[in-house]
Formats: sequence, C-alpha cells, structure tokens
Amino acid sequence: MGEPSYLHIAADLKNLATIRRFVEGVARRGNGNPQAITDVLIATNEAATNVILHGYQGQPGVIEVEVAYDQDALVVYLRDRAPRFDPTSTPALDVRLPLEQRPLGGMGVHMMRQLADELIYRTTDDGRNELVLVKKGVRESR
Amino acid sequence: MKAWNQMAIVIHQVQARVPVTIMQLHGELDASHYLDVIAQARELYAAGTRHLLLDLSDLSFMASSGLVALHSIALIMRGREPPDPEHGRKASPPRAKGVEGGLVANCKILNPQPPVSWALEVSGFKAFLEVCADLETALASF
Repeated sequence: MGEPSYLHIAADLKNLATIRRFVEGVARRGNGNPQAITDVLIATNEAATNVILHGYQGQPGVIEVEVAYDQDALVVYLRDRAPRFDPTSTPALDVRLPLEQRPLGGMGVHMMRQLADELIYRTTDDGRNELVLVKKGVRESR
Repeated sequence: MKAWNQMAIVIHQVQARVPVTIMQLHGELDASHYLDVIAQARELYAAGTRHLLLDLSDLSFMASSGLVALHSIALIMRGREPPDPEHGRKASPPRAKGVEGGLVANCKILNPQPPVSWALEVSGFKAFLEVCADLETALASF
C-alpha cells in the first residue's frame, strides 16, 4: 500500500468539487490512466453525495477522504460520523425502464457499482461509517 | 482550501425548422447545482419553449444528480411535472397514457464529452434522450 493522502472537509454539497480535485490530484501524481481516474471521481462523488444527503441529511458534519494506491489499484476510503447509511444494501436499479416509470433517485449507487471494482461498507472501530471504493488497473506502467 | 464548484447556464434561441432553445451547461454538474438546471428548464417551458437542445459540449463532469436534472427536464418537455427531486428521489413519476417509452422528440443532447457520455451510457439515458454529435444535425432533427 502506498503512502495515503487525507482530506478532512465539511459535509457540504459545495465541497464536492474540492473532494473530486483532491482525489484526482492523488490519482494523477501516481500516474493513473485518465479513464480509470474519471470512473473513480464519479464513484467517489456519488459516495460523498450520499453521505451529505442521506447520512448527515443537511446537518453539520465532516467527511474524511483517504486515497492511496495499492499496487495498480486506487483505493478511496470515505469515513463519516453520520447515522448509519449503507449504500451497498440498496436494491439494484433497472436502467431499462422507460422515462415515465423510472425513479428519479438511485442512480448514484448504480453508478458506484458500475464504476468501482469493489464497494465495501463497514463500521470502524471508533464507530464511524467507512465506505471503501477500489478501482483496479488505475496505475499505468512507467 | 479553494472551492471549485463552478457551473454556468447560457441560453440561446435559434430559428431552425422550428424555434429551438439551446441550453448550454458549462463547468461541472453535481448535487450543488442540479436544482438550478431544473428550475431554468421549467422557466423556459413556462415561457413557451417546446424544443430544447441541451448543449453539454463544455460540461466536463456530470454526477447522478445531473442525470436527475436531465430526467426531470425530459419530463417537463413532455408536459409532465416531475416529482420534487429533493423529496421524491425514489418516487416514480405518475404514469400517463400515450407518452411512455421511446425518445423524447422535443428534447435532445448535443455533443457530450466522454465522461458525460459515459454517464449517459451506464445510466441507460440514451434510450430516451437522443444524443447529437453536431449542432447542424441537432437543429435539423427537430
């Protein structure tokens, strides 16, 4: 596992772009390929949005983002102290439904599942929510 | 830390075979801005817009909340009132006779960048929102 980088930031929708830039910076410094980095950015953005909207539900809070390479894989950890919200337990979305029958929501978890190779939810020893996103094959050979 | 959450909406009116409103989205579309996009589309429809081209050529990132905005706009352009995305993200729009399925004829997308095009692909949105590669083709298609 490479040296991790950390960001602690207020759980506010206005900070989503900052979270994306942070993850992108770490990924690019590690020589990641652009398409895989885009996938990680989308998945991380969706995870952080869920923490803000469904975890903290508008209440003040903090999100910790940890990013590190594990060989060729990029691993993103999101930790928070919001009430438990496990995005991995939500039912699969049927994206074949026509416009009038589709729910407006649920797309974020669908995109996380599509774009990450592993999506793990757990509770840390100190009681925080932790979501782990693993994207394999991100680091290109030098 | 600096914030990057910048997005702009620019509106143009073009006379093709029919009057077409072009809504250009610039920047990055995430949960911090998507309600503004829906509100703008609702305002245009109320003001008489019946053919809408969403120009995504300068949109470098789109989260699932952006997809919620596109979904809502497609319903608005079909004369339907979409559920409130803040309170009804899991709710399906009410079904209406004669309007289900297929492409939305009066609302199309112009030239999405690869990350946005990928989001449209994995979400299944290309089944009801036609994607046009260039402006001339898009305008001629209405």
